Amino acid sequence: MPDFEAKVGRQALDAGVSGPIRQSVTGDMVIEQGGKYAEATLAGRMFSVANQAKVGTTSALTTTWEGLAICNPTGSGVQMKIVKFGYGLEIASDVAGAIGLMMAATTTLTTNLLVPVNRLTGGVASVALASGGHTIATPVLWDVVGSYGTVATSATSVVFTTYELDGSLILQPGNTLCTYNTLATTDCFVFSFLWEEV
Amino acid sequence: MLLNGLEGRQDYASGTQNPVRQNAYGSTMREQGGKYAEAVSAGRVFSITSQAAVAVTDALATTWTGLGVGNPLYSGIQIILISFSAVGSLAKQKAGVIGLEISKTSMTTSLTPVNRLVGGAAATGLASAGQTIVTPVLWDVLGSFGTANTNTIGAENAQTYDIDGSIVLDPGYMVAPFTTLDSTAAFLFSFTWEERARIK
Repeated sequence: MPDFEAKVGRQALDAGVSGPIRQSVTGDMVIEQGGKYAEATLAGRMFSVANQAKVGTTSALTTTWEGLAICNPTGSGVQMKIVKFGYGLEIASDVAGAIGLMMAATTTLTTNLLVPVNRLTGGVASVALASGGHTIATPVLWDVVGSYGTVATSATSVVFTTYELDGSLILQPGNTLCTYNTLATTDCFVFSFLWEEV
Repeated sequence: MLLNGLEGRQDYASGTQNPVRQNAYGSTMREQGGKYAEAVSAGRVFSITSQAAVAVTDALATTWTGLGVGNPLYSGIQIILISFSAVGSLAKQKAGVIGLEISKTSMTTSLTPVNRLVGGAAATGLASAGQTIVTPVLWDVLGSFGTANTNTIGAENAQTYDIDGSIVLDPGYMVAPFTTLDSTAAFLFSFTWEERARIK
């Protein structure tokens, strides 16, 4: 049985050239690391969308919904691996509640459309659809992400509120992922989603 | 075909070719450590931090100020964003949402990014605290900022977002913090990124 051999030290291989696998002085395999989304982004598979201005939200599982949604349209031929979700309050909210993510069997989005961007600047367009408000099929709350209250903005400093899904939700064609708020708010939230299309 | 490793820690010289290490259970041993350590030791990771509180412009303004990182036209590299941090060093004048915006702008002036391998080569990427930019697009919503007086808060962490390679700037693009409303000089920002030869 042959040995699985590797070579100690950093190499300088040109593209298309095969060379020995790298190892450390203790014999361990050295595997390239770095930003875990870098390879997918360089391959042009990562996309995102954000509201470009504050939006109102609707209450709980209402079907006349507003916020931010992304849809994998029927027949797209891709799966959408959801990676991150972010939200922020631009002004104080007028009501309090929980914030989360809910799923609806909505097959397309046609109103209040937003344009997803390729995270490789200048990359190809996404097959996904995005909207800031649409009539949707009755949704189901899937993830609870946090809470929001009515505290004045004069009481806060800088707070990042992002949720790392890390691929734990895959949107199949014919489904829509929407933001969830317990109670309807006036225009105060801005949201974003980040995903990979495969 | 079955392949053999060699059990136990070895003491190989650089440039030699040897069996890969395995443990007593037969598992292949993998070199680990900080996930950016290899790129840093190769001199490919850079950062920039505001050296004093900076003023910010509102929303998608083209007369922008803050802290931005750009990949100049014809640079031959791609900039892979790693992390972004924001902190209020003074009470901010206004409140709003904070995020990251992208503009198809080639930066023209530069602060001095540092190589995270101390003493390493200079960055190809540029950084600026303000210039006129092409209308940007908000890409990531990261959270909120308010006008809390600094006498109402104790020590708190900088707010850091792990971009984790999910933004790649091709030549001619830049990334910058997005703030809904403008503010007098109250924010400190920082970016960390990796530079790699552009493959297209």
